[in-house]
Amino acid sequence: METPIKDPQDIFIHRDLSWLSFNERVLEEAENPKNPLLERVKFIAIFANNLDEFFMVRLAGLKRLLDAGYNHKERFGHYPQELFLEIQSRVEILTTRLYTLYQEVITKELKKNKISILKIDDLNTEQKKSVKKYFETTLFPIATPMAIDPGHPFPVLSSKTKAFGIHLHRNDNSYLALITIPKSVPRLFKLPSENDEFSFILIDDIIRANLDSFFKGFKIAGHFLFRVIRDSEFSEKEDYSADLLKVIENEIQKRPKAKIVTLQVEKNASAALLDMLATGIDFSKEQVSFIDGDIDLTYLFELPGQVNKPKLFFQSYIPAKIEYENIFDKIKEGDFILHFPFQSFQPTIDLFQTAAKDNDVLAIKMTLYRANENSAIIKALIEAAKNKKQVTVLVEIKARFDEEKNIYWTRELEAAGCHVIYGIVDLKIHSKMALIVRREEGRIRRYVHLSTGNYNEKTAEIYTDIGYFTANEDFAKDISEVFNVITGYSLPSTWTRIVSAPYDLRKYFFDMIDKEIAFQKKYKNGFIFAKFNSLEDTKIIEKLYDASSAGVKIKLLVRGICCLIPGVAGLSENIEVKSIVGRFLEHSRIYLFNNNSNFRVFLSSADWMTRNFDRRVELLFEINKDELTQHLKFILEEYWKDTEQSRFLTSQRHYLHANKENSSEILNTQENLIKYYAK
Amino acid sequence: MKEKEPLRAAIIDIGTHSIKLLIAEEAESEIKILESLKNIALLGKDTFYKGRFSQETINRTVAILEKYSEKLKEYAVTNVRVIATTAVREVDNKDVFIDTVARRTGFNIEVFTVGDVIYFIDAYLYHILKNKYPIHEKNLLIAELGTGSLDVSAMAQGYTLMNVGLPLGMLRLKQLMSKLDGNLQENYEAVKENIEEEFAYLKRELATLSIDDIILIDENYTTYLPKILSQKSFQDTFFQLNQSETEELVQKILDKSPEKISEEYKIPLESAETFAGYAMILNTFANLSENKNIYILEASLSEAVLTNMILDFEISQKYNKTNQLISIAKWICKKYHVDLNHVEHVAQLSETLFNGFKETLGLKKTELLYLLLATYLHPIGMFVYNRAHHKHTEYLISNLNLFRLTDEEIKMIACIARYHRRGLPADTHMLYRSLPKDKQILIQKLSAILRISNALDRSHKQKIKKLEVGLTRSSDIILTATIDTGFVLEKLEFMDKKTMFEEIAGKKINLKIQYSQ
Repeated sequence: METPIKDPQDIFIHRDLSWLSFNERVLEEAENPKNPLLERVKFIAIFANNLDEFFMVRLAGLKRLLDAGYNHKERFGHYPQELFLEIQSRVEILTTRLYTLYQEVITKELKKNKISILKIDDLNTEQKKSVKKYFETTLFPIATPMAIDPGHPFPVLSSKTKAFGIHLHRNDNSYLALITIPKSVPRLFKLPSENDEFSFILIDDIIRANLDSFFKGFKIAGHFLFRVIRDSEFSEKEDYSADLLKVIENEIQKRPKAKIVTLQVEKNASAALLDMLATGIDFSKEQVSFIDGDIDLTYLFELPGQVNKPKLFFQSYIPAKIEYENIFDKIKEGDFILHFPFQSFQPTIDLFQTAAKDNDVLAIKMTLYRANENSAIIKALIEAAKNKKQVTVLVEIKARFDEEKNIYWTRELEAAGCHVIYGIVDLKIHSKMALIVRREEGRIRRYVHLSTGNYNEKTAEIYTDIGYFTANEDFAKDISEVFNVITGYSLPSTWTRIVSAPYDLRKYFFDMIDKEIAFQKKYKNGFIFAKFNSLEDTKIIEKLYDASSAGVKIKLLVRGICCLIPGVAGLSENIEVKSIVGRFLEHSRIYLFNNNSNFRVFLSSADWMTRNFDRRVELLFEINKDELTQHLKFILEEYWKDTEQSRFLTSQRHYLHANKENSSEILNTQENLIKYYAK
Repeated sequence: MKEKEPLRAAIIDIGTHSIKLLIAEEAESEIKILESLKNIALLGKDTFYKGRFSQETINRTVAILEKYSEKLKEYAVTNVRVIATTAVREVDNKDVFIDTVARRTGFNIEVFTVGDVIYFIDAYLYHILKNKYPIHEKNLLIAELGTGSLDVSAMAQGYTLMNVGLPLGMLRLKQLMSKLDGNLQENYEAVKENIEEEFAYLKRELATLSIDDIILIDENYTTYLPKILSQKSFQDTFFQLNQSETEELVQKILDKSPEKISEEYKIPLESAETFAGYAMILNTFANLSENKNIYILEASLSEAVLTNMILDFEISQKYNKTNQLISIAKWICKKYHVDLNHVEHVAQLSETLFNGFKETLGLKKTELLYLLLATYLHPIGMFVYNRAHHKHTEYLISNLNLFRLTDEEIKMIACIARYHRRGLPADTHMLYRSLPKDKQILIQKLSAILRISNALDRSHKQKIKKLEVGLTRSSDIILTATIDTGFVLEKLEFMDKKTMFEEIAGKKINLKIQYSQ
């Protein structure tokens, strides 16, 4: 009997809708009164920033499909039109929730704690003086007014630009003018205030109060603040299948510049002025988002750093340090892992700093996906090159939204003599790996570092990741060959300790799941326990459904997108999905297979997303040291126990907070891990 | 104290289909491969289809070598050899290619002869089989299957008898198959006939040798054998097959197209395309040895050379290059019905004279080998015709494939052998004229010695028991020959043949006879 073909909508949650659910969980953290106030402020900023990126990539892609007249169901079973409406409605609800939270709860709480973001009319004399000075010396010289007339056509505003649209009058003539809000200075200006008080004003409001200064001889008939968000265009390729990509690329070729995806406008905008603006930037007036409050709440990222009130933050801690004198000797003693941010990232930095100075180090190779500004690792690489070591850095220039940053430091690396290689066309290098070649007593010894996270000292303080250090020769040989392949030095070979995408990662996972199905059938002990960021690949979801139907128990800790629907009878009754969103961004990828009670644990740079399997260079590697595999299993189990920051995904596609089921025992795994490693 | 780093080395192997780089170091008397890089460069396609490397191929080679040069820096490797085999050896613009590569990359390419290939393979086999297989006690056929050629050597008790490159490399078979226009069975039959025809030469050459085993070195196909012969697996170092198994292998795949072979046995299509040819080669080998085994070793020439560089092993003195070449020369003598007692005796006399005249003539020790080989081979022209046999000798030798000798060395040996009688070297002699001046002088010196040593056994009766070289008071050279029977014919011949030597040495040479007690 043939199995009836299921409607994808019945068995998958659309990835964009699932992503919106994830961002909703971020918003819930902002709403959660148990979180310290300034941490809630950060969650608001994260939520707002996430949403901007969603607009620039996902919504933009969808709009392109609509513009191109694409009218077929995509792999999750949605027509672009219906998906767009669904997204629009959810975004509206979330945005309303965001502003309600900010204006009615957070602002009041901030005030209670003597933190205020003031309007111009609220300022005292001293503050007014300070604002005046700041406007005259800093803002006025950098804020450029632009008149729009037949001789001065509407300027191209880059994505995320905020500007005032101003309606001017002179001699019975009307004009439209723009003033963009400068991006080179912080958006929050700190005002003079009493000792324990912290007062700020938005530079938008300072400029607003001084609009006259820019247009002497004109009468300002009206104004409003707006923001444009454009299609990011170059970053989304890997998220689309080849046929969709073709449609999108054809559409892009027809246009001279990236299309505006969203136009956000202050609620009180006059209809006439809005008409002029919408025509000027070629955006449909019907699609304008009216914001009842401050446009672009990402300025809240700036706030916590300027307020010295430790009580309003999560309790600080010092990441646990491991003891060693020389990092190379430490690795030689035996493989080890580090769990960030609970443990210090310093040994990772040390590895490169020591290598840079060490006379016996001949070569350093690494991949850099997203690096932080003033990165100690990049400085170490520069020093190493100056010390005549062969330094090869594989830079993934395509790391989304980090392109400009990446270009800057890659030039620095090149100037120092590093061999910088810019990835592979159409294949993002997402794996995080480093190889150090060292001469020891005349022989070569190679050190390998692999990680689930990026070589970024800043994110290592807030992302949970696992780094693996080894001097194992098989690993060294494999990693060396991976570098040879991706730098174009050699053809692919067979590897013994690693599995890689886009070659065989998908197949390997499928085989591992099949094995669990076989063990389940024979020994009734099929079990998969995995922690990663996103589950979006429909093929692997179907494979997991097969495993569930065969009786394999599956526990998944999926922080972000999860297109799988757990707990559905006849489909996924043996699958449980939990998402942890908390103080730290869960980012580690750990995959455990019971393997007939001889469990095997893998670490990876890859999630279970189509792009990870097919369009990125990713690594999966097995940890073979018993002590380490036990520890990784312990980490998974600890996360599963969490009730404080975790939510279960239900068969009804909702996320339910875990502590609602058993409120008597509250367990916060992230906090517990801080204590565990501090011991 | 400067750190001693003899342990690390690299080899770049410019092959027919790809260019490989291996970097390795010594680890517990074995080699540990640190890096293994491979890039496709279809040099063989140019050589076998067009006869010349295109500019594109040369540029691609240079680009790959430049990358490899960077890689060598990562491991601070200075001990590097760059070798090339069939594709470069047989291409018309070889010299331009080698020169361009040297200018643009600094790498000097060594073009390996079949003899070089066999030497390193033999040495490598001896090294890895030390305690596992008595390689020096057997009569063996040792073959290296490359993309350009199938290099085969016959070895008896550790001594090489002959080596030959058969044009049966996998790229050549692919080239052949692409030109065949029959159906699958007809094409396979044609490939089989082609292989058998090439092997017929081997069969004829080895008719008198009883072969114990066959050892095949192959790095490309062996790995797929267990997929087809599922009952078989690698044992220790080898994959072992007997005649019935090679027959089974052929039977299993001969009714299948390359696509089917690829699909059924999960062999990459590129290898599946020539797998039938490979199976037929194995089977033809097996048929040569009458129920003996084929031992297949999954290794490569580059690994063999690199092992040699790092572990610095040599086959023992007994099996050194000179002795191997003399063994080959004797095998050739047998083939051309040469009086072996005569040439062996003359070779002894030549060696004595060489050592005695070394200083007078300014000879180097290494040059003795040319004299000895010319001595052994000087009569082979008689096989063609006794009149002007020295000229027949010259062209026969110049067309021989002599183990590990360069074309120039072979030409020199051919000339030395030619001038053992009759006319002296002259500018009208083409082969002689093709050699540089210093080599021409050397030829004159060595053929002058050969003339004397050959004259001293004019009767082919090996009358001299002892020969000594000395000087008279007037600084003339005096040869003292100890004999026990009549020496009149030899004396007459000596008087006739000594002139050339006297002219070159600028000294008189006299013969003193003394009778043994």
